[in-house]
This record gives sequence, structure tokens and C-alpha cells, in this order.
Amino acid sequence: MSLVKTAKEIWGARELVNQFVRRDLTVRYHQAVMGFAWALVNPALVVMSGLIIRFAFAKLSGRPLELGDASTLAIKAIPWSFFAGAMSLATVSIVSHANLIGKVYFVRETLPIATVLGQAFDTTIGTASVTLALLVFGFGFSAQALWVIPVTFFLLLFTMGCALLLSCANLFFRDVKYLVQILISFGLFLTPVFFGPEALGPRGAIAMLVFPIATFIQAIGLSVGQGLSLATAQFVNVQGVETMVWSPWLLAYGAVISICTLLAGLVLFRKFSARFAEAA
Amino acid sequence: MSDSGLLEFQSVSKQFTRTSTHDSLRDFLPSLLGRSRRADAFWAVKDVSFSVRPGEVLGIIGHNGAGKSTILKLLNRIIEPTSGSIAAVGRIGSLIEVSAGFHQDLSGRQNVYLQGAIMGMRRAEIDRRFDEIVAFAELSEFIDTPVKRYSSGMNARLGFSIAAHFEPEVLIIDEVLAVGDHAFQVKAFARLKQMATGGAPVVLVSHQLDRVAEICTKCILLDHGAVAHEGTPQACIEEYLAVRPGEIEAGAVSRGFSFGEFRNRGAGTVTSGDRIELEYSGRCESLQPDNHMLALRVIAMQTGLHVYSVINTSFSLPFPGLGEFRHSLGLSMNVPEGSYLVKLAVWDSRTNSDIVRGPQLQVDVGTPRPFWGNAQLNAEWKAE
Repeated sequence: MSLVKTAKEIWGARELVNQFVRRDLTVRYHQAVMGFAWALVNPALVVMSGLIIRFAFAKLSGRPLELGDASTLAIKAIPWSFFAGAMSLATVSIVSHANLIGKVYFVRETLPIATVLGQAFDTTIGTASVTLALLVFGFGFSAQALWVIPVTFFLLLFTMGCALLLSCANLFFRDVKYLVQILISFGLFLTPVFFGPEALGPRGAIAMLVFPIATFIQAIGLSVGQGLSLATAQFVNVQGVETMVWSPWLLAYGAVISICTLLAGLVLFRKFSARFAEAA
Repeated sequence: MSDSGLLEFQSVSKQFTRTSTHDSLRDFLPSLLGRSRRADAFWAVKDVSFSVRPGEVLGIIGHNGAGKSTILKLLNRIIEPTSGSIAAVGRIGSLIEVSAGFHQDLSGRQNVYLQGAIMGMRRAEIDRRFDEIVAFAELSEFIDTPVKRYSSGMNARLGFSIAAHFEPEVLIIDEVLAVGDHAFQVKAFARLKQMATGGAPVVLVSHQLDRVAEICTKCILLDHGAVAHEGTPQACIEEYLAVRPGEIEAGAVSRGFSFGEFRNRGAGTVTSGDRIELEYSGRCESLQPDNHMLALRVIAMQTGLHVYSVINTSFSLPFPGLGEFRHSLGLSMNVPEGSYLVKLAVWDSRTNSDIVRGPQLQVDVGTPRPFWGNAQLNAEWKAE
């Protein structure tokens, strides 16, 4: 099967992925201070804008802003920044190597994959910093935080799938990158980063949660931020209405969506990669 | 180097479209509604077949636009053929674009690993050959300096050196040979020759006909994407250098200048060092002297090298006025044994190009006293 062949070729090119990641990180972290700032600035900005929105909500509703709100916000900002950062870099990863693609053959999948892995490195630094800050402020992690491991795994697969699809699409249609930027800007409001899905009402909550990246962010926010189990449905009482903010089915849904996206990404990317050099 | 590789083209054709296709959604989506434009397609490579077995070195020559670059890209799997099939058994190594993957901010050392990985080398393989690569490129002192501080020569030397230490089963060479200074070029060419004769199947695409003649065991001449001649390198080079008659006619009519008969007053084979007397006629209908000059060139047919070029202004010979003209021309053939082409042309000094390609004459030079070298110095060697 061609998918197996593709997977084998990508595995065979792991040294190239490694070299691309090293190159990107070496260039990015060349000045250590700037490198670390790069890794932290994006999630920090997301947290700050989230806090401003929460502060405005708190003012309007008369309910004070709590430390828990800020910490959950910081925790949810990390997967979002990872995904948003990976998308904006990966979308242009093929086009920015157009010159190389026109001149040399190599396994093309290595480019978006290396971009996502480089972003994962930044996110690891961001995660370490946020974890440290939370511990300093006395935030207690519960055992439910371990859910983050499978969720992150599927988030990574999903991100790779999207990276393959978008990098390929952007080569043939150069305005895809603008579309991606717009989606990233609005995505912050379509995902439960700033506020929980309950804010949209019972139906709105479900609608938000089936937005794939929202599933992962909500899962991380609930398990790590609020110490809740993902194995049971979770409800929030909003002005007397019980609103479901999590269902164990979403876990299966997230897993299926991420695997399907990755497979679609691998197949379509390979199908079109024969034409890359002519489009580049 | 392995002798297990094999490279085969079976009636390979490649079509390109001249007009660019939609490259944005903004253009693409409306076009789905309207009628689609018919793309202007042309064949860059037409029905080309060849096979290269271990130990064979295939040269591919041809004028600009003949399809050489397209064949290189097909060989390197950068593009896929429109029809036909390409079989390549074994790991393909290319001496093409040898520093394409360099990142300017990284050191020479980091770039060796990066470029090596792009070429498909394993880390252990690069580790093992790293010192050799650096020594060959003569960059030991600068290997930890960022590549952006390298001169273009250093850049090219490092790129060549990485590619030259790859051990491919099939080797593809573009004329990247002109890298670095003269000393490095000599070294690079020696290395290349060593790789090319290492037993793997090799394809060499080049304009440097002397190198094709020196390295290749067989050759194909491309013309407008198709194979025009196939055979020994010498036969292909002679074919390549022969001007197609159609071109002369077309040039003459449009430029208001035509050459007539071009002939050798002597006959048969010329002895190296002897003088030949040539004559030619022509007619100038409307071409003004302006920047135009008559050019005479002598080309060695085995190698394609220009051994001699002159223009009329060096000889107090005025550019022909309107009407018929007849010139005579004497040449001392102080050249090694071989066949030479004497060509005439009208050259425009402003655009540095031939605007009328004139007739050509083949002169075969032999010698009773064989010698090595580039010029006949007519040695007189005797005991006193």
C-alpha cells in the first residue's frame, strides 16, 4: 500500500527531519534571549488578552476574577499557541523552500513535519515556564493532569495532518496563508481558550466542542486546569441551566479526527508532491 | 562505489504549460464557474530512451533549451514524466546544486550535516567522512564560521566536497565543475573523474565538450527535446557543432546579409603547422557596419573548444559595403592532430552575439610527428 511506502520513506528521512529541526532551532535560538522570548511571548500575549476579557466579564457580572481563572487560561493558552504557531509556520514551509524543492529531491514531508516538531520544542519551553509559574503561585496539579499525555499525542497528530494539508495547499494557492492567518485570529473565539463552552449555552457548547482543536484545548483545560476526569461527562450550571462541557465521547472523537486528518494529510500531500517542483 | 546500480529511460516525455496555471484561490474559484482556458502546452522532452549500466558514463549535450535541464530534473526525481517510465536502481547521488540547502546563518560544520542529510546521507556516514570533506574543501580553519561570511568560492567548494564524498549507486553530474579557483577546479575534476569511473552508472550533462569527450563512454545529442544523435561522444560532438543549414538561410534573409561559397584552395588533409588558404564570397544587401564585425572562429571538433577567434577590424579589412564581396584568408594550422571547424559569422559587439551565422569548413589536420599539448611549436630537435 502506498501509505505504508510513504510512512517508510518518511521514517527513512528522519535524519533530514532532525537536521531541519536543528537548523530552525539554531537560527531561532541563536541569540538565547530572543529565542526564549519567542517561545514565551505568544502564550503570554494570549494569557494577557484572555485576562483582559475575563476582567471585563467579571466587571459586568459583578463576580470577582479568581486565581483559578488565570491559571486555567494560562494552561489553555499553551495548546492554542502551539497549534496556531505551528499552522502559521507550517503553511509556508513548502513555499519558503521553493528554491530547494526545484533543485534537489528529498522527502518533501520532512518540511512541515520538522516545522511542527520545532514548534513543539518551543511549546515544551513554554510549558515548563508556565508549570514553574503555577507552582510558585501555589497551584496544585491533580492526578487527572496525566490526561494531558494522550491528549497531547492526538493534538500532535492532528497538527501534523493540518500542517501537511495546508503547506501543500499554500503551494498551489498562495493566498491560503492569508486565510490561515484569519482563521487563527478568529479561532481564538471559536475555541474555549478565553471562556468555557458553557458561555455559548447548551447547544453552543456542543457546537464549539466538535470544532477539533477546541476538543483538545477543552480536554487540557479540564484535566490539567480544573483537575476533572475526562472519563466522565462534565456539567456546569449556568444560571440554573445544566450545560454539558465535556463528554467521554469527545475523547474518542478527538482521536478519530486526528488520525483521519493525519492520514488525509499524508495521502494528499504525497499525491500532489510530484507536482511541487513545477508549482514552486 | 557500487556496481549494482542501473538507470533507464523508456520513451520518456515531459510536457510543460507555458501559461501559468492559477496559483491563488482568488483566481481559481471564479475559473470554476467560467470556461476554462486552454493551456499553452509544449514538450520539453519528447520520447527519450536510454539506459546506463554499471561502468558506463553517458554524456548528454545539446544547445540551450534542448531539454538537458528537464532531463536532469527527471533523473533527480524533482519532476515526474508526463509519459514513459524511468527506472533507477540504487541510491542516486547528484553533483547538481551542491550547496542549495545551505543556511547562511549556520556554520560550515552545521551545513555539512544539513546538506548531507538533504542529499540522503546518514549521520554516521557524515561523521565518518567529515574530516575528509573539510580537508578536500580546504576549509579546516573556517569550518565553524557562519557560511554567510564565506566567499562564493568557499561556498561552492564546500558544497562540491560534500557531494563528492557521497557514495551513490547511480551518479548524476551537471556542469557544476567550474567551482573555486583553477587549482580547485583541477582537483574537483580529478575527483569527479574518479567517481565517474568508479563503476556506478553515470550521467553527465554538460556544455564542456572536452570533458564529455574525456569522461563519457557514450553520448546523446538533444535537439528540441528529442534525441538527435546517439553514439560515441566524438560523433555527437561533431553533430552538435555542425550548424543546421536552415538557420543560416533564415538569418541571411532577415538580416540583409548573406555569405556565399566558403572553400579551401588546397585539398585533403593538412599537416599540423602548415598554412591553409581559404576564400569566401558574400553579399551585403542592407546591413550597416554600425557595431557589426566579421568574426572567424576555429573550433576543435573533438572537444568543442574555441582554439582561435578573430574579428575583421584587427586586419585593416573593412566591413563589406553594400553589394558583392570576396575575401581570402590564410591560417597557420599550428594545432594538434584532429578535425577543426572554421566558422564565419557576423558578430554584433553591442549585444555580443552572432546576428548572421556563416558557412563553415571542416579542416582535418594530421601530423607525421605526433606530440602532446595544445599547440604545434614546430620543434627542431637534433644533435650538433
